[in-house]
This record gives sequence, C-alpha cells and structure tokens, in this order.
Amino acid sequence: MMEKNNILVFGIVFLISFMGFVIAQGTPNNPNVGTQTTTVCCEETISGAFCQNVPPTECKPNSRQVPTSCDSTSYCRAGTCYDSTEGTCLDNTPQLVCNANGGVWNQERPAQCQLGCCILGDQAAYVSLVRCKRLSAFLGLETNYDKSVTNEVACIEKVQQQEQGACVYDFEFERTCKFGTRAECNAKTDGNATLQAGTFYAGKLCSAEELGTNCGPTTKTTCAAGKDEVYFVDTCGNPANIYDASKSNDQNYWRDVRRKDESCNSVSGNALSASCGNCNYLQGSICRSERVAGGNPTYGDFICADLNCANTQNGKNYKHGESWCAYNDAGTFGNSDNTVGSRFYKHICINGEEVLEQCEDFRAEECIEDKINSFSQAACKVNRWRDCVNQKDKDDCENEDKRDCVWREGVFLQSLQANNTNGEEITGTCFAQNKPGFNFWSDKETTNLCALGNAVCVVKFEKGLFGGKECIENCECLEDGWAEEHADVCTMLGDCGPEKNWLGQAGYKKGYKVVISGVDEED
Amino acid sequence: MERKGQVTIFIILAIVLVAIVVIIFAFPEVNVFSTAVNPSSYLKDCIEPEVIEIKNVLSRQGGYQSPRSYALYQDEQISYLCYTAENYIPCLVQQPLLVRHIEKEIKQYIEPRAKQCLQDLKNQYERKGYRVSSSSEVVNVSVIPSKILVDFIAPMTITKEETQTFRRFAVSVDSEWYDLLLTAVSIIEYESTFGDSETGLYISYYPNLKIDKTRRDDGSTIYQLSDVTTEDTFAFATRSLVWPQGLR
Repeated sequence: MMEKNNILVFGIVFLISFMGFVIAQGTPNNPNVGTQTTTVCCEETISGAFCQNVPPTECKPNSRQVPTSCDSTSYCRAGTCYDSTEGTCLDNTPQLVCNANGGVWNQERPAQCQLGCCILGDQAAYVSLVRCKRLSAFLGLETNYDKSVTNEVACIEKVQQQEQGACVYDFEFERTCKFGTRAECNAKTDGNATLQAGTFYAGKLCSAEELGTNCGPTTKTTCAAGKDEVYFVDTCGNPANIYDASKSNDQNYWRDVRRKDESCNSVSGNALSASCGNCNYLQGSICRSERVAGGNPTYGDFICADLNCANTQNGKNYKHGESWCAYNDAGTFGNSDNTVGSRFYKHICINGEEVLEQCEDFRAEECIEDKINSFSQAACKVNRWRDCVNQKDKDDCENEDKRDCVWREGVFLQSLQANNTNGEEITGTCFAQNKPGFNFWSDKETTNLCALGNAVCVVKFEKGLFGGKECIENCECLEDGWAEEHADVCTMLGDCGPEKNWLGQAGYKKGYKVVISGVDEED
Repeated sequence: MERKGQVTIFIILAIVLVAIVVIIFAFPEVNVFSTAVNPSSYLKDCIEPEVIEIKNVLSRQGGYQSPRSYALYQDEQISYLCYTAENYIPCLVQQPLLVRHIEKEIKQYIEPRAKQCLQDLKNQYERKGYRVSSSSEVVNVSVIPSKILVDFIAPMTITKEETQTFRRFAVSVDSEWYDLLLTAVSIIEYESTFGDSETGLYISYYPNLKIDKTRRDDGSTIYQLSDVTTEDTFAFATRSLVWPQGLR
C-alpha cells in the first residue's frame, strides 16, 4: 500500500452556479445587504405626492426638504385630519395636506372623532356627532345621537328594537298617515314644514280601515331603504307589507304589519319570483327594479334580483359576497414548486358577477380560504418567506405563527452549511411553502439570492505510477445527476435555476452552469 | 297680377315657416311658443351637460381634473388619494377632504359657463320685454346624497307688468356619487391605517356597490367603485404597505 504523500493527487473543482431563472451568475453573498440610499423628507415630490421620504433628486425644486424622516418634521407629521363639514376623520394625514385642504389637524385623535350611535328613522349609523347631524339633515330628521353606545352591533340592535306603526295626523283638513317609528311620529315633519305630532298605532299599517285615513291598498310596489324585500305601497306612498301577489286584495294583509317569517316563502331568497317579494340578501337576493334585475313581476315594477353566481370559472356556484382562492398556474400550492410569473387570485361573487382581485405580485402575498357555515371567504395574506432559509430545525421552520415555511429533511444548501460554524447538526433545509418570485431579469439582488444554491465540489483523483488516474473523493460529483439534483434544490429558493413559467413551459436557457475551475496538483 | 301676388305671399310664408323650423332645431333653448321663461329649468338645461361632463372626468381620474400624483392605468391618469413611496409602511392620506375637493373642482369647471347661463337667462327676459336688474352672482356646488346641487345665488328682479324677485336658483343633477365618495374615504381610512382594505366588508353593507380592486406591479392599487343600479362610478389609486420582490 503506497503512502498518499507519495502519490500525485489531482483536485478538480466543480462549481455549479445558479441563475435567476434564465440568466445571471454570481457568488454567494449575504442576500440581506442592499444598497442604502439617503432620503430626505420632501414636502412635494416631482411626481406630485406630498410628504414623502425620498432621495433628494426626487424632490420638486423649491419644495421644502430636510434630511430627516417626515415624522420628525413639523409640517409633514402624520396625525388625524377632521372634516368639520362631513364629520369624518382620517388618520395618517400629513399636517400640511390636511390644512391645505381646509381640514383641522391634530396629532392625537380629537374628541370630535369619537363615535356614537346615530338613529336615522328605522336605520342606524355608528358615526361621529357631526356626521350624525349631517345625515339627519339629509333625511330631514331630528338628530338622535347616543354617545354611550360603544360599538356598532349595539347600535344596530338599538334601532331594531324600535317598534313601527302608523302615524295618523291631520294635514290640510284631511286625516292622513305616515308609516314609521314612534319617535318619528312624535316629531312629524313633512319636507321643511314641521307638522303637528300624530297619533301612533304600533304594528298597524296606514291602510288599515279602522284608522279611517285617506290611505288605501294599491298594486304598486317599492324597495325600502336598508331593507332587502319588495314592499307594497299604499295610496299615500307608505310602504305596506312584503309584496305577495296573492294578497293584493286581501284586507287583512293591508291591516297589520307582518313579520318577514309570516310573509310568503320566507325560507327562500325568491330570486326573480313574479309573485313573492320576500327577498333575502344573505341568500343572494335583494329588491331591485325589474329593469335592472330582469324578470317580470305580476304587480309593480320591482322584483327580487338574483345576486348569486352560477357556474363560475371553477365550475362551482357561489352566493353573493362569497370569495374563494384561485391558483390555476402550473405548479402547486404549498410545495415550494410555484412557477415563474404565477400569482394567487381571490375571486368574489358580487351582484351575480365573478370579480377577481390579484394578490400581490411575485407571490409576495398568497391566498387563504375558509368556510363559515358553507359560506366561503378568502383573503390575500403576506407570504412570510423571508427568514425561512435561516431556520435550522423543523420546529422553528414550521412555526406557523411566525413564518410560512416547510422543512425538507435530508436536503442541504452548501452555502448554509458553510455558515454553520457552531457545530450544530443540521438535518435539512427550510424553504418557503410558496417560494417567492424574483425580478430576475434586471435585478442584482436576485443573483445574490439564487447564489445561496451554488455548490462547490472538489473531486480528488489519484494518479497511478504507470499513468492513468482514479477518482478517490467526491466521485459522485462526476455523475450525470449531480448537477440536476442540486438544481432541483435551488429552484425551491425562488425563481432560480432551471424553471418553468406559469404556463408550464421550460425556460429557453438551462438556468445554471457547471464550471470546472481548475486543477491543483499536490505531492 | 293678383295671382303673382298670391304666389309671392305663399313663398314668403314658406320661407318664414322654414326659418322658424330651423330656429327651433338650431336653438332648442329658445322657446318660441311660450312667453314665460322658467328660470330653474332654463338653468338646468344650460348647466347640466357641463356638470355631467366634469363629473365623468373626475370619476375616471380620482377626483382631479389635472391629476398631479397618479397611476397610469388603461390610459387614464388615476390620482393617488393615499400614497407612500416607501415599502412596508401604510400610505399617507393625500386628499383627506374628498367631497369638498370635488365640489371645488366642479365649481371651478362650471363657473364660467354658469355665469354665462345666468347672462343668457337675463337676455331671454330682456328679449321678452322684461326689465332686468341684478347684482353680483355666486355659484356654489354641493355633492349630497342622490344629487349634485348647483346653487346660483343671483339676486334678480324682473319687471314687466308686474315685478318678480329671485334670490337664488337651485339646479340638481341626479347622482349617487356622494355614497361612492364616502366609500372611497372609508377605503382610504383602511389603507392608511392597515395598509389594505377588505372589499367583502363593503359588499355586506352596501348591496348596490361594486368594487373592482386591481393591483399593479409597482405596488399601487386601482379601485373602481360603481353603483350597479345607477351606473355612477368613481376610480382612484393608492399605494400602501407594498411588499416588494426580493429582500429590499
């Protein structure tokens, strides 16, 4: 057996270098290092935006600029802007933008922005006092505001408890009637004129014969503000009970207020029903004019419009307001094999139409979906992939509270192993569940990120005494599959290496290259 | 000779009739059949096309006739109502008083025409033999629920056999724009606070509202709001809480 020292050993270095999908090459670098640009707080940028932290070159000439963050300036500090006309408040508004537009700026949220319950007839709004006054003025109602109500649900409940009925009063020597709440009846107004308060008959319709008013049944119908259903209208223009073609001449039906569940076909949405106007928004129907909704009601001009979506892009039916995720590109969800240019989409059913919303490009956002009582809801959420490769064990990697990563046992990135200087045993690598997209065609940073997948293999050969050479170390690197195996690992990092596009077509370049960097000889 | 005279009379009558027909079609605002002029309907006919024209422009361009900071989308300059040039942070509100701003934009656009309409109205009265005296005119625009209101504060006294005095003329153009603008304000509030908005939330509250939300590669979001029953629209842009590609 010959001593190793006495033989000539060749070492050939194989370097596999990965590129951002089609082109780029580089060496492993710290990918977190980016170029630092000095910014100033610019009052107005060249593009016309106010109070932005931008490089000085982007600041409009003659515009104020200071070399600090806008939060530290007096004029660009963000605070609350109060619109005293509309009674609305907007946070995160720069002082000068608010003042220049006639608003009142405060660093803290002012007392005027405090919300309370505004009662508007049989409707309610959880708004500021000034907003309540404005809304009441629009509707010709007295302001009814309760600031002790501290949330929107309690506010809505408050209005639902109000009883409704017929308000009978005399007007121009006639006994007439207005349907509404008791509070409205006590302060009866008609346009600008305040009338004498009427007598309130709870649960009665204005068309009830026993009230002796000039209001009677008709076959006309209407949609009521804030209500789903189609309602009959009496001769005075008041809404009566829910439209039911079979009850148009039924005196009883024109006497007392009937609840929704006492009206026609209350278990269904009655979409496009000619005879029943008991629409249900949660079931995908609402009162609309027949012109907009289509369909042909037996009486009147209004009908329950169908808002649901049938036979959508994925072949399923959805209710109005339902949303769901779509990922139709090549590649799968959650397996680090997303394709270049692929993206997540959220589809929504709105008014019988399938509308789509893109999640952020480059898979910076992913779509998540769940069902609540068979009602599907989807949302785009941030893809937390950034610190995946820094995780060294499975538990940290797959901690869903912190990141969206997946652990690959037995898969290694040489560049990360080289950084593991404290001797910890690493059994695999942590990758993003949905790998990020990179701007590989024009971005140097992509090169650095993809370079995490680079691998170097030093193959040793032993030269025989009588010529020839024999591989003695890392011989597997000479095999055909070595480069491809490392390329597959690399593609899990992002848009790196040999990739496919979102249609499933492979790139026109290999996406990596193998470099034989040289031969060292030693005795 | 007598026959020739008759022919001449017929020809003159024909010319007069043709002239009247031409005037009716060429100047529809001139009411040749009525001696009375209804000032409100006259002003409405005169100013409504201008209001609709500017409303259409503002609807497409985020409430600005000449947008300064905008996203270019489908050849339209759509104003950023909330914007940040940086990544990872919510936007700063760029137009906190949207309704008031839009009222100003409409007023600025229609004011010259509105004053011309008032002058034309006075001329109409004078042509009909009225003596007209008037003082300074102010035009106000309000966007309120279900309408855009153009208020002509133009004290005017017209005298013929009797005297009539007007102090103001109100012209309203039907529109559900106000609700769309307030929805836009609410979306801006979400964008500036949380960096994004949830469109599904609005659908559950406002059955007639449709929101098209389009994300662009530069991090901007285009919102196109529409009322499905009236076909009123309002589009605006935001750039908020942008997650760029890579690790920048």
